[in-house]
Amino acid sequence: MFQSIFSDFELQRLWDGTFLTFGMDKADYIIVTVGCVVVAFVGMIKERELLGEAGLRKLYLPVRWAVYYGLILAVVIFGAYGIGYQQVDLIYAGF
Amino acid sequence: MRDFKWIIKLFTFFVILIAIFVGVSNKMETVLIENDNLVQSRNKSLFRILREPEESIDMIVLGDSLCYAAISPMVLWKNHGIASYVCGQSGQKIQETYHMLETALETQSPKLVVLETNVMFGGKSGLESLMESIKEWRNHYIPIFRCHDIWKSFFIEKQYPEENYKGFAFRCTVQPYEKGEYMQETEQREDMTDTVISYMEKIEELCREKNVKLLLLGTPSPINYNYRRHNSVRTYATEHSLNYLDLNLKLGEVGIDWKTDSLDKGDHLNLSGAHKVTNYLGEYLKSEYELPDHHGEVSYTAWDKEVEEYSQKATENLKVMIKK
Repeated sequence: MFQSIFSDFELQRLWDGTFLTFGMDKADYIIVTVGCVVVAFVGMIKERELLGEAGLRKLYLPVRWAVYYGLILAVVIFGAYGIGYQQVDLIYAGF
Repeated sequence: MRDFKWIIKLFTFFVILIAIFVGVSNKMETVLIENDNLVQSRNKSLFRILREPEESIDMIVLGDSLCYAAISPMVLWKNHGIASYVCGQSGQKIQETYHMLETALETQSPKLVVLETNVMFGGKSGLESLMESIKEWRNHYIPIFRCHDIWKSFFIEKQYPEENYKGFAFRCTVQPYEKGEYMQETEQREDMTDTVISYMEKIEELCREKNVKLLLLGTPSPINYNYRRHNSVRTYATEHSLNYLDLNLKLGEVGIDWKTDSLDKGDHLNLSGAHKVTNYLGEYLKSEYELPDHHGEVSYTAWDKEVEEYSQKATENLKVMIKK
């Protein structure tokens, strides 16, 4: 099995839909990608200290809270939990 | 003083957060009630029951997959004019059973609630069950947690259309059950968890409050039932003065033939089994409860149309099943 990591490598699998058979659909991949971009973006801002030392704390309060609410909602809505993500779906597959 | 200000700020933050959650939840719920194609199969009844005209349903069925594999509201309508709705969910937990009933009672005033007893033997115990209870409470009162995956439907048009006749769907596979008698008499009992008992009492309380009768029903299933479970439910029903009908002990009267009526080797019933159980249940309900016959009433003409379509498809499906 370990050998197959090297021997059965087919580039086309990257775009022929194989990825969609792993239990994640297109929307999930989009969210994962967007998440990565956001993390990279935040990393860049922090590294270059674009917001200064105080970071978000120096933003005007309503703006800051809006950002917090937005992020919390994003986690609640796009989070992978509950029906459609749980194992229970597999056990009761077909019911 | 600075501390006080900080506390007020924190408090305000959470009040606004909850307001946002409630607002988004309501919006999501409205969308899902309007278009149940966006609701995943398991939760369909939660939203579909809210689409029924107010105060039109006289009987609500609760339970896990056993209940919606065994009871067909369309057959109850055809035979007796009983307006019923099956609010089952696959692997429904007792907490969900309770909240499902709460949901149904928001718009309906049924005269009878039928509870399929298999939910009384599921679930976890101890801390895990407490977590389950909190989670289901949260899902019920702040539905954003339950409906959050709705965004996929807008993103990639993911939809879940399904045939649905008041909570019942055709299941036409035949896989016989061949292991023989499963209700061997014994004095032993299978314990129910404390969570189950406390939620059962909450369900009873809710029924009392709304003046709804509660019937405990065991539908035929060799995999899920045995005499130990029967004893437990019987004791519980006696202690709480509830009616209890265990069809596993009345297989002959119901007419269950395990060669033709099992969907998956004795776990669930198929269409043929469901019709037998529903026919029997209808007669029982007619003799034990005063459920109105709505045949011919103007406000129920939609039921007549639906039953016509249902009967036609059911006959075709049953023909194919017999050939197999």
